[in-house]
Amino acid sequence: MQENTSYNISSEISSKINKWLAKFPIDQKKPAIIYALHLIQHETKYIKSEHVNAVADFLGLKKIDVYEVASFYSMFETEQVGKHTISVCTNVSCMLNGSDEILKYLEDKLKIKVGDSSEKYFLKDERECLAACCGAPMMQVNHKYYENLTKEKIDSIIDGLENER
Amino acid sequence: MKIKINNKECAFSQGETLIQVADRNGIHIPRFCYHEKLSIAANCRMCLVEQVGVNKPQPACSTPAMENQEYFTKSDLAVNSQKNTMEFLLINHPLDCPVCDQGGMCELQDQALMHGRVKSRYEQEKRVVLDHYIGPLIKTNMTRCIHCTRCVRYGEEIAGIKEFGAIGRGESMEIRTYLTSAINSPMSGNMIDICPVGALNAAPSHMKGRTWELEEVKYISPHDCVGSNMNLHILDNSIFRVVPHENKKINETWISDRDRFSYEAMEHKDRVRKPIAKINGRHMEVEWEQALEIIKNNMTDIDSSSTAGFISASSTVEEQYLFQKWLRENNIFNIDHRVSQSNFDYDEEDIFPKIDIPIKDIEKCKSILLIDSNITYEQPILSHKIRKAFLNDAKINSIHTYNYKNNFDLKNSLLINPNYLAETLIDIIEYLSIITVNDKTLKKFIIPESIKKNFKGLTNNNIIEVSNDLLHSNSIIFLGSNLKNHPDFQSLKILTNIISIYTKSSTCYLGDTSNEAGAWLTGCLPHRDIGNISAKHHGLNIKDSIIKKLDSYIIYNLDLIDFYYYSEMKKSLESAKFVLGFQSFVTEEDKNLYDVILPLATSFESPGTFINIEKEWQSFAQGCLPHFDSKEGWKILTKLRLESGVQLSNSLDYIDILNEVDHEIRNIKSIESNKMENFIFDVKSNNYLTRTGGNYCYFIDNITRRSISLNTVNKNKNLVCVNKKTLEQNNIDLEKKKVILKQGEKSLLVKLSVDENVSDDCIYISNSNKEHFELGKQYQPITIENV
Amino acid sequence: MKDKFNINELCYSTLSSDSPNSYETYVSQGGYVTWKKILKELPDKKEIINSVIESGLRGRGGAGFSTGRKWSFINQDSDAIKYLVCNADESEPGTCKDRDILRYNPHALIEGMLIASYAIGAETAYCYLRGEFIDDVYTSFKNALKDAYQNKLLGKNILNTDICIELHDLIGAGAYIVGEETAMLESIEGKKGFPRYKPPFPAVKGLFGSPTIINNVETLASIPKIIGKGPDWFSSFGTKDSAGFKCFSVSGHVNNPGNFEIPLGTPFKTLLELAGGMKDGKKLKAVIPGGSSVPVVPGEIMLETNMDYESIAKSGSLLGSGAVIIMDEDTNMVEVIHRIARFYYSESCGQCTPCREGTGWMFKVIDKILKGKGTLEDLKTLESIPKMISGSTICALGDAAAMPVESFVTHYKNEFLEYIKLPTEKLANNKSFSEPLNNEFILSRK
Ligand SMILES: Cc1cc2nc3c(=O)[nH]c(=O)nc-3n(C[C@H](O)[C@H](O)[C@H](O)COP(=O)(O)O)c2cc1C
Ligand code: SF4
Ligand code: FES
Repeated sequence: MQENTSYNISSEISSKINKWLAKFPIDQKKPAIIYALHLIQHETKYIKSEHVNAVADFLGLKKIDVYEVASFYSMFETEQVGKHTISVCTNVSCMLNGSDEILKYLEDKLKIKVGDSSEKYFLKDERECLAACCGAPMMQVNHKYYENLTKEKIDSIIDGLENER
Repeated sequence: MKIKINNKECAFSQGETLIQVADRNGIHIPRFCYHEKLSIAANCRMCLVEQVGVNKPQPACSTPAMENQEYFTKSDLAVNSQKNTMEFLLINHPLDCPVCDQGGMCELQDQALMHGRVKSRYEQEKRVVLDHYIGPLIKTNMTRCIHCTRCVRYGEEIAGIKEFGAIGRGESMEIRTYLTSAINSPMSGNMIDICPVGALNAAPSHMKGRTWELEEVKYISPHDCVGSNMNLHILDNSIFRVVPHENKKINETWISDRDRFSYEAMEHKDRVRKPIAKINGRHMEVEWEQALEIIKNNMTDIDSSSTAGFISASSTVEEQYLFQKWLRENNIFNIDHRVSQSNFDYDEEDIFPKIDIPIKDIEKCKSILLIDSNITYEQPILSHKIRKAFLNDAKINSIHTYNYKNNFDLKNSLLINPNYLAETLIDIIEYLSIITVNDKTLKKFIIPESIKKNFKGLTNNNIIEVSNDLLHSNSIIFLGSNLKNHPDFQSLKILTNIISIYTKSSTCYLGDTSNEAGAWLTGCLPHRDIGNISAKHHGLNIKDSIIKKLDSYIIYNLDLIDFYYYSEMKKSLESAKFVLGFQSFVTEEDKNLYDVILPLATSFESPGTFINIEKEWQSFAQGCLPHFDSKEGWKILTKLRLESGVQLSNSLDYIDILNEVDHEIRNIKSIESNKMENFIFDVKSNNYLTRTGGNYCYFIDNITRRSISLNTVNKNKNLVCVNKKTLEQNNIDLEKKKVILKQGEKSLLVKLSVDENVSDDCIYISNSNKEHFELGKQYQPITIENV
Repeated sequence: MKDKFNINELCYSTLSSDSPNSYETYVSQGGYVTWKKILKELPDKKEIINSVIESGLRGRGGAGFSTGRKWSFINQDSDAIKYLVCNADESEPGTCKDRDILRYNPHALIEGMLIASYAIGAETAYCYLRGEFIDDVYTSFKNALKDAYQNKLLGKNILNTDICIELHDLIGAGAYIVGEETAMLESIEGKKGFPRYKPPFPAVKGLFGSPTIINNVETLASIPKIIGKGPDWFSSFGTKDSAGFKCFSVSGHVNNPGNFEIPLGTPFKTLLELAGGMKDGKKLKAVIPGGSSVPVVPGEIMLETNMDYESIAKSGSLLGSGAVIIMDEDTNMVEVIHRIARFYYSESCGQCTPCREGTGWMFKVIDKILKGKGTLEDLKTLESIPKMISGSTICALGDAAAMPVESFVTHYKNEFLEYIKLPTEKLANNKSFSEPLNNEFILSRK
């Protein structure tokens, strides 16, 4: 995790966090950690120490408590990653339907190895099954599901991202 | 209720776990994560045993004992499960026992021998974990960590400051602090003890010796007023390390970092190695005989009424007893130990550091009021008790001059300027006097007029809440040890006493040394004799002794910066005819002020007794023989008494002294109450900028301030802290980061930290070096200027 | 058991409609009638719980424990706060049935959660969705929840009764272990997903220390019809010990993979037919009948087995979450278990020793064998590690990781032996997975 200076939680995010907190008993602040990190990561793409500090300060928690959470859940990236996160499910059902070839195709197309990141793309090494086994092979692009992948389908998805401003 | 373990019938009570029942019955079950003082984690899976009728092995640490169940701890199922766990644990554990500090006292090593398979089948690469610097006290070797999380739970539950966490998941999970943070808890060293392997090691003794070469001697903490029990581990007549010694009534199984690491000072360069004497204007090392000769000559010459003797309240009872005895035998009555006190009003009826309830009962209190006490850092063990009370739902309130960091939460936290401390207590008294009008038991109690005069009609809600909380049964008030040099110290004690009368609370006047009670009981005071009874010959108190510039001074086990009247003291010593020191340490500069210095053994090198705040006498044996040419205080003082012609048996032994002290003091009933009739309180309108702050917790006595590791813990201790409002009022330019402080003639350039924990109109300095003492005094006016 | 049945009768009933997830569709099928009836009649809680017990509904999350009995563990006499948690962390490899309920029939789940909350006396219920659902699935569920609130079917004093139930959506952040019920509680409390040791069980001491019931999405979504049509209707489907319908996610080498909701006890053959039969007409080699955590069953045994808890247990496996993974004759079983072992290795939470150390050890040994460097000694070790893990961990992830390895080695030992005997060159040419994902990379999780 990179160490950096300071980060201010925007008023939009802070009001969302406060709303979220209303779901829990009044003395409970930790239940908002995951949600707060999601909100911040959505903006910043990955979690830096200043984000952990900011969440801890905002919720009045120990930094280590927030850091424990940030480092435990696999959706939180603590190293720099690219703009679009692409996760190809390679678990059993997808593997049986050729996900390894899909992954290889993406590696070649995006010119990054699985687990690596370019400025634009992060080809996540997804260990978990993404619960779309009946649509195997599948992938998530920025957490959107794309099922029954073929090479053509991938081309058009990536082209879509390329043409995005 | 009963269960059977290994066919042995064992009784248990509802809620007990299997491991507790087994431990009580002397049945050993291996364990790593379980620790009787910590919450249950059940994560190491070492304690698996067989429960008859259940096909899976059960973890003894988290399985509640069930009526009429049968368990086996050594059946095939149990033994195999334990072996499996050992094999798993050793997969990623390095086999570096020969170079590991923990070797010889390692739970993993022991259990690998008892429960492991001989050969490991794992041949892939072992996990390697990078170590991060976490401060000067604990040296980590995290590759050895077995993830038992004892240290994490210790931080969360006992120390109350969660610093370690388990980062990441699975095999790559790491126990570490956040990023590069260093451990800051004043009780962090206990993690070294509870770590079952060699992952957390004491940094100062890291890789310097092996467990089986050590000798163990029980010792009592020389640094705080509770008398924590500890064991010195001795290697080649030096202290190798210090660990806790269990005492259920006091420190349980913990000690503070200060107690654990202060021994490092023993070899400090300031250590007085040989007797030193000023001969023809030059200081030189001399032999004992020569030094004693010089003293003898001087003692016959001096004017005893113009001589004062000061002894440290960290010296042992035996030393204090002999010191005052020797002086009084020489007709010297100006005896005192209250070096850090500034005000001596009402000292005829004064009471000394004490606690009204046993230390172990603090955790049962339902309401606690702290009056300007930085207790978590200054009396960590007591703070631990308060934390327990807190976890037990006690209401804890605090009135203070700085928002100290505590390891418990405060209900009401009143930050006030030190000049208004007494007034705040009077506000409480005012409210209490109204609310308790119907209390018949208080009928006879009359508030002194001078207090009543200051009643001003109540407004503050916090005051009301704090007062109401104290009215709970089982409440206690702590008066901080820092207040000793507060000009209103004596008044604060009396006001606290009045509050305690109204609320029927217990009180605790904290001390910052290990044996203040001893100093009082042995009569190391100008107005009290042995047994704390009124003295036959009254002498001058320490303030007068210093200010009146006497002819001779005798200083026992004290640095000059221990004196509140530091600069006055220096001047008096400069002009004195004869200055004698009994010192373990002396700075190069202070040395010049003495005529003779006798090298004194530290309490690590001498047997002795400390009397703690609850008047518990605790004796300890000699840890190691005195280093260099120093000698035990009781020996030196006995020798001097012989020299001055007192008739003593020639074969006098330490035990004889201990017996004598015991006989003379232990059963004497001493004076112990504040009389309030002649109490006159006048409000001073001190609205100047005031210096506050106490001594940094690792700078409190001549030993701690010389232990290197402790004094590198906090990099920020040299800052001066001021809040923003005060800075603005004094037109300080915040860009510059540095400011000039002035007290009287003196000035000091210091680093500034803007700190909202400081009360208004105050400059907070945590004294941690000589310049701080040279600048001026606590609670006195101070000015702040731009560079 | 009834011979004739309609597919997708219960949790997937809205699939036949054009806009399956809308409030209107659900209501047009008789949705929320049961809930409204309960609000009107305010039946005794015990009555509802008894109906659920009688229906024979068993938890659909994997363990198959009687749902009604689980609810009855809540001490109704205590006035402690109680919670209901819906486990929508669906992450058992092969399973994708809950996602379709959340997307296509969210109101059945909401109604089920309301009835369950009523029955156990909870005023707050949480539905915890796995983090990866954060986009489409979460949105669909949130919208449904909004509709339900708008129609005043939940909240304070629902339809002017004394009943107050708040239902909150929650979202995770990627961790298989959080599907374990106590790890989910930890995660809801904002901590790492470390499972808790039991006892105490959640029904005694669960979320925020209060009594809590945790149920799977499918379990809860089944409730409205069970209560509405009566327990007898439900138990008239399925077998004696496996009552009612179950959603099966059929994936792998089949022509028409998908979720099929059929009565329990239906022959596997029928299910395979529903899924369009084997892809490319190949032969069935093996089936994992209940998600990757359960033992693999050779094809020929499976073809004789019915899809209910007892029959599958007899064939040496578990019904689990109902994820049926079909493998054809060309499947490389060492590769499959390598992939499964890697999954458990990276998803072990790291809390307890056997699982933290054992999952890695198993994976590394399989990896070594797959790379052609294995020895017979390794295979022996691989046979023994699952036995060392099983039954000695805090939660069932240890067993979940051990069972597949044990079963793959038992049933397909010859394939492992081939790898051990195979010269390395030949191995390099060995089709799809010639280069197992770089090991160093796998070791560092992030
Ligand atoms: C490692 C592990 C993962 C699990 N994952 C899930 C899951 O993703 N979804 C689920 O509903 N249950 C899962 N479970 C089962 C739950 O622990 C729990 O039994 C279930 O939610 C109870 O609901 P039910 O009684 O309705 O089945 C998992 C269990 C384990 C041990
Ligand atoms: S460092 Fe020691 S105490 Fe802490 S988890 Fe590791 S083995 Fe346990
Ligand atoms: S001592 Fe019981 S599991 Fe660790």
